[in-house]
Amino acid sequence: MRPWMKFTIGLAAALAAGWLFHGPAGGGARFLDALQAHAELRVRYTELPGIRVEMERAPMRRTAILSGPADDFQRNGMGSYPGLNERIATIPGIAGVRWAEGHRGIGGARLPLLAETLILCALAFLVGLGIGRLVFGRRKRTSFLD
Amino acid sequence: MMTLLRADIVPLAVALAIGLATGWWMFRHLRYRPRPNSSEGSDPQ
Repeated sequence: MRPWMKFTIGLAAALAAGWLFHGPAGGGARFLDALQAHAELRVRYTELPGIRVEMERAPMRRTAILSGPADDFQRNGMGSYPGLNERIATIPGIAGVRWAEGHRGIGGARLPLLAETLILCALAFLVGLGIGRLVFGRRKRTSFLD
Repeated sequence: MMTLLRADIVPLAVALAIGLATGWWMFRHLRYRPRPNSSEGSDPQ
């Protein structure tokens, strides 16, 4: 079998593992659930009534969607006092914030979570392949003179 | 990004293992290639 076919089969298997974990095994949804719970806690801490936060689910992204009545100060803060946008955007794992009503948020368009997972899986595959090349590509020593 | 890496640790470990296995599959023949003859061209005393 040609080397590029072996490479393609290996890469496809690594990407399939990433997709299986993300979709059918529910890894992506669990990750977004954890982020959403963290974000809801921060929104509750601000004690602003009627503000809701959800993670983008179709497609799954690490973007928080805020909705509800909030003025510009409550959304963006002032000086060193952070608004809702900054409070949510600084949660580890959240890549951006936007408002359902169209107000300005933080962070631009991000890749879907599945794409991020697949890119990381492809990089992990390449790292493994490189280690495999170093370990298995060396000539076996057949005597102490080698 | 670190949070995402931690959340995806299982598929990343699997992908790394698959990469390692593919490396073995692609490069194992190099392990038994003949040793270059270093004395070729030299004039032994």
